[in-house]
Amino acid sequence: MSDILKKTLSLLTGSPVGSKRPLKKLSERELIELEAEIGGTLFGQIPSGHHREFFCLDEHTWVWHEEWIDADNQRHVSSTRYEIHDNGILKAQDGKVYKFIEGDELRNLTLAIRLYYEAVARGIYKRDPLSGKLLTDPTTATM
Amino acid sequence: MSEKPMSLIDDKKSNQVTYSADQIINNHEAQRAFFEQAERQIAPEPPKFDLYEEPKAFDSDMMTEIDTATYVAEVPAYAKEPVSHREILERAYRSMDTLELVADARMCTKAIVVTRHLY
Repeated sequence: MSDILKKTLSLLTGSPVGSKRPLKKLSERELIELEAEIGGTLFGQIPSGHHREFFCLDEHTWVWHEEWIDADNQRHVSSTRYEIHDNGILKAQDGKVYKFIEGDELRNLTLAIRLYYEAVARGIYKRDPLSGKLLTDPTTATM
Repeated sequence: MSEKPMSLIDDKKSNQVTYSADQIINNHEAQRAFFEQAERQIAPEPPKFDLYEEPKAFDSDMMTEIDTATYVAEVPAYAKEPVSHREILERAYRSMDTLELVADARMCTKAIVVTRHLY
């Protein structure tokens, strides 16, 4: 596609060419950023000076990202990736061995995923998480 | 007129008398017996009570007063306070095994991706 055509299309749709959702105002990345803000609040109060994001990257991957500055003014970044497999959820952290999570950690993550879905379905997409119907639909069930 | 015997019950399983339609119409005795028989079937005899059974002695131990304080203390904490949606989910997840938890996580993740693409 020529550059001029790309620019024109991008101007018309408001999204970069090649986006999965070219006719929508927000790109998938922007939607994930919105979701990540909600996701960051699911684990209680965020400590002062911390920035936390928790989001669903794709159908198999979740990301926990946290940044903070310590007392010595040193910046720290921690990223954890959770991969959903058929037999378990694999946790991958910077410089650490991959492992399948279990027990309370697995329960807490599953709970967070469920709460995340319910929160973003209502808060961003205006859909009922139970039925998937739009909240403006009069037949929508509530959960 | 049909002469087929009439009865409300299965005669093979009982010793009840059957009457023909003619008998019921023309014979008052048969008519009365037929209706009495029918009535017994509709309203079976009440069970017999032994009217002379001695009443049981009053047992005062059965009438202990409910100790309100103890009763309240035995009610689980979660039953006394409104339960949040999060707590309900937490309890549900406590009873799930690993594969059930993974399946739930997978289902929710898929729902998120689908919902996102529908937007």
